[in-house]
Amino acid sequence: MKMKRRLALLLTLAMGMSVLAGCGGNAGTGGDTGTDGSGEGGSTSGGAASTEADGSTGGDAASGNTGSTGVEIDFDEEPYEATLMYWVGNDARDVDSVEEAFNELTLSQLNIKVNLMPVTLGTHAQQIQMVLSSDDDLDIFPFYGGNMGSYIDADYIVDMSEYMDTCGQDLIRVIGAEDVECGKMNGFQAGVPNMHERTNPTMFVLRTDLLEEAGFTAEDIKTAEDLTPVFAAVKEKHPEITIFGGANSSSYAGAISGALVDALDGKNFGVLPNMGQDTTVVNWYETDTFMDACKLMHEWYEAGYVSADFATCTDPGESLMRAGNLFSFITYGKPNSKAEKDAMTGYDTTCIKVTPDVCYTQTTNALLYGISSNSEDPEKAMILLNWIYATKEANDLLNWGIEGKDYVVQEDGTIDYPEGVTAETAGYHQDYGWAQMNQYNSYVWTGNAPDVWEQYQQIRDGATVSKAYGFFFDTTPVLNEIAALTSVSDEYLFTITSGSVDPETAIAEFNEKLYSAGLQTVMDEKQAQLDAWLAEQ
Amino acid sequence: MIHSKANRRYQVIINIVLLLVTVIMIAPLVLLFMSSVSSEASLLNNGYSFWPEEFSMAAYQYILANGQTIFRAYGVTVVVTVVGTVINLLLCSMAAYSLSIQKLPFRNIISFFIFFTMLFNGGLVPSYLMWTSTFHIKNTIWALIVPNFLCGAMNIILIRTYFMTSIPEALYEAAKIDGASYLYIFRKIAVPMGVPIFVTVGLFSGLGYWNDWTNGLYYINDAKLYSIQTLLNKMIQDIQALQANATAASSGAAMQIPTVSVRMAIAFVALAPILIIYPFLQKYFAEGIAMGAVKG
Amino acid sequence: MVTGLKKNKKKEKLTWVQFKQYIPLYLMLLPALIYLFINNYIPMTGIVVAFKKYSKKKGIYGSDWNGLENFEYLFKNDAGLIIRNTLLYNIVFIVLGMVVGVTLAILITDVLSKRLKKLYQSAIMLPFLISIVIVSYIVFAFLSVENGMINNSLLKPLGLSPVQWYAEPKYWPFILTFVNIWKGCGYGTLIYIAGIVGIDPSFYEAARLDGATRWQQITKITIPCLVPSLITMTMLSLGRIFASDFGLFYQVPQNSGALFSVTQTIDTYVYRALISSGGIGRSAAAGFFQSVVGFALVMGANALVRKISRENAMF
Repeated sequence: MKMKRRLALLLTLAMGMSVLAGCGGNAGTGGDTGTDGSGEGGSTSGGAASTEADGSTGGDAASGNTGSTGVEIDFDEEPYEATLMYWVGNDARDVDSVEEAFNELTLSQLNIKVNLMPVTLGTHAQQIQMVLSSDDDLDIFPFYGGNMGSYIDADYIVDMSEYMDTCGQDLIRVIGAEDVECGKMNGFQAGVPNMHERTNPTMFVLRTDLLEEAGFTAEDIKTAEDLTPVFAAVKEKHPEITIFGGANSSSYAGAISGALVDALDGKNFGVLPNMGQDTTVVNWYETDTFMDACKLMHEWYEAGYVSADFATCTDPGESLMRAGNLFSFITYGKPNSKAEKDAMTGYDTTCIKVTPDVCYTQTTNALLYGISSNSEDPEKAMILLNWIYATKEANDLLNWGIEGKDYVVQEDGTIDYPEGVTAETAGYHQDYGWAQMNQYNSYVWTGNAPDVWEQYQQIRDGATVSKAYGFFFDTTPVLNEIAALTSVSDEYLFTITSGSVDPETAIAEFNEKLYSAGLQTVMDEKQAQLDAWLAEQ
Repeated sequence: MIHSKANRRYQVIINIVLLLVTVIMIAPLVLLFMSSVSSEASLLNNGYSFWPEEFSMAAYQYILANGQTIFRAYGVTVVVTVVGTVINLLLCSMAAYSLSIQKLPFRNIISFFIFFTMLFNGGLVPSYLMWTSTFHIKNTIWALIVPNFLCGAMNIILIRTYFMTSIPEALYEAAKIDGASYLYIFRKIAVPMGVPIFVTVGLFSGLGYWNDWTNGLYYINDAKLYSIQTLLNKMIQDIQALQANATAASSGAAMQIPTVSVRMAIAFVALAPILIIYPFLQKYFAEGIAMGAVKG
Repeated sequence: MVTGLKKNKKKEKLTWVQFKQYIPLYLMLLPALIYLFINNYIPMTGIVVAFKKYSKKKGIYGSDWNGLENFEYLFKNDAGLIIRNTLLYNIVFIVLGMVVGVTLAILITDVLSKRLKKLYQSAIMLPFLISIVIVSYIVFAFLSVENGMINNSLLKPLGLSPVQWYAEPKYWPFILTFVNIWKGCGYGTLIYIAGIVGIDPSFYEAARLDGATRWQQITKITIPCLVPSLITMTMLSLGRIFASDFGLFYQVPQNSGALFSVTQTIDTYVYRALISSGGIGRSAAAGFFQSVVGFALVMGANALVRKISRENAMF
């Protein structure tokens, strides 16, 4: 028995140490230090060892003292090695050249050596949990704002607020103080939003040829209801094609929740109605707005405008339209929507916005860049992040590759492939600006308006702002309820929003199930957290 | 068997039944292949069918264009499958043989120790931590071979059951009286007699390796070490992500990917080598079974 | 370990000389045991996270205990229905899988033509090779309301109205069972074929001399000889009776909400519940719960088998 116990202890120790080693901050050498628990810092890379002498690393306490010198770069020390994870569209062939060029900049300006770690979204989803739980090298990484609560809860991320004043000034300047707040939860700065659109208005994309053939123009359509006669006319001329479709998540009744109410956490279990101008949490699925939208969908469905497979469809409307079998679908509207949808569908499209532009926390913090607790030196990571947001060359490199080789600048300031280079042969071409840190501070690809980013900014500046902008609901106290609610919502929502069932009875049943799964508890908790936050403002 | 009328009728009936089963088994695969050579528009507009309205090789062109490493990945998979299966069979058959000896002291405890691994597991994260930080297999070929697939309770138990049922206890006793050691009996009796189950289990293990993409996903970042399934799986995931999030105008390219047929083509690309190799394996399979029958 | 030794001593009076002959057997076991110890047992200790509030900084073993909190969500919503679905499907799969597998194995081994035999053997393995995601596309090809082959090529020509397959729960128990058997029966069949081939041919000769019919041979020789394999296979599936093939219940029904009453199993519920909030503690809790039930069932079944026929017991 004794032996057994000792064995168990040994095991636990071996495992525990390798875990603990990651927390000690020796990301790169965790395995080795694991055998020698006391050797903190002893076996870290030379750079870290030498910085320890002047006290700029070695824990949270030290960084406060060195605050003033935080942005002064000491070029005499070994460069810090940072791992930068960012999202890309494809596995580029030539990451090495980009990394080299990137390092030329960071070494000379920041004395930081960066390991680029481009990951595609699909891979990221499956790997990130393990990378975060392990002691793999990782300094900066992207994540969904919806994960803030669970990441903070599990100690996956570093609170950036303590570095914000000293080395995050460019971040505040570029992103805007109000928007930076959206990366915060309970005072913990989990990450900073990347630069993408700040509003998600509901927009219908229609095929212009069929629209005109039916005798309508964009002017005739102001609201979703105005579409009913249009659909009828198109249906009459072309009974063979689906009038309205796309992925099940892009039903009219589903999409408007992102535009008309503030969900406070991206999930619609308790929302602020009236574009977030009221501060009393209500149940979205009991509102007249939701009911009316579902009734409209039901009317369309009954009239045969909507595909019978809509409730389970996951093919995006763009593909279906490209295949020639769809007249209209819904998307989130942006300044360059038309150019984008024309290219994606292969048709001339008419894009009509049917809801106003409103800023909600969940839109802005859809994607955050944060600092992993694996980082050996979060301050250095912060310096790097701050620098990327402010540096055009950095964003150009990450998104478009190397000038002259992967792209060339044209007369109007937009960029295009060099002669002879195509999407297939380019060594590095991501075109994934929406997921990168600061696409606003980088070249615009040909085909877009050269001032497209100013248009984005104008929309942001002119948008209505929810009263709860900057607040994000922490779901940790009600996780069990959220789990149950998510399951109920999965069961009913797409069936209801697809219009295939009678909304009156289905919504009543849906709500009953939601309440028995604990909706009221979640709404109460939301209200309480929101009230506390509002009181602080 | 005596060739009587009744026997002939029996043969006809079972062959009809089995041919029917065969059609049910193969038809969906034919559909899979046909979808992979259909044009995207005909799939989205008319649905899947055994004879598409419009043929197109766009899906395969896409795969070839985007998977420069595809042939290398096939190579990686073949190496991993062969090495892994051989080690797997070796480990499992040795263990299974020992456990099939009813008199072996502690046999039940050891069997339990092995079986228990099928019931409980600690999840991915602890495994990942151990393999990467203690064994440092990340980005090595061993990452594709060692975790999870090298030896499993299932295979040990299947082989053990086979040994216990097809090698009579009396045979051991006789051999023992002749002075043969257990090791000798293993080499001279158990191994030759076990061929049918080795082939069966080897097939399962080989397919396990062939079809696995998870180890590649978790432990490999280096594209040179992608196995074919990891590569194809990544391709599917990435297309989905790309289309769901395509934004800038030039992403029109992303929408031109024939998504539906590419999925089918990818499945077929992963399957094709097995379809080619399988008849050869079948030969060994049949021979192995025949051998087992003769020896038995 | 100590108690095991004592028992054995009592039974056989194990001497060192006797024990020595078993040493090679232990050596042969060793590599597999070491591997299982490393690959399965060391990470298995991570199961404790099911009872903890996980924190990366404190590590899996150092995190604070939080009792059964991680298990709560499992019983929050429709737990009865979810458990019922999981259990019923698994029982049907086990029984039907066995019947189909044994039947096919007997039929295939009875085929005289070698070429056809090969064909059948290959054919039943084919579905086993396709990933469940692709299977879900194939099923969709048949069942899609607008474009599906059944609605378009079968029901329409017959003048019947199309069926909303993905909104009608009543069809799905059959569809899922069919897909499961279709995809999985090759595995069992091959095991049973190997088992049948291993049967001593002299048994059959003796039976034929006694004038036994083919049916009698099957019931009196083939099936009894397959019993150990059948017990093994059943035992292996019992351990997983609270688990389910996620792809089969999630992807094949296209994640259709209208079908939840017959497609929601423990695994799909856990996935849906945790997709937004995550947490390795909660997912470990679900796994632990499933394992404990499987474990209890296997121990019970094993005890039963031991009582009836000792040599067929798993341990």
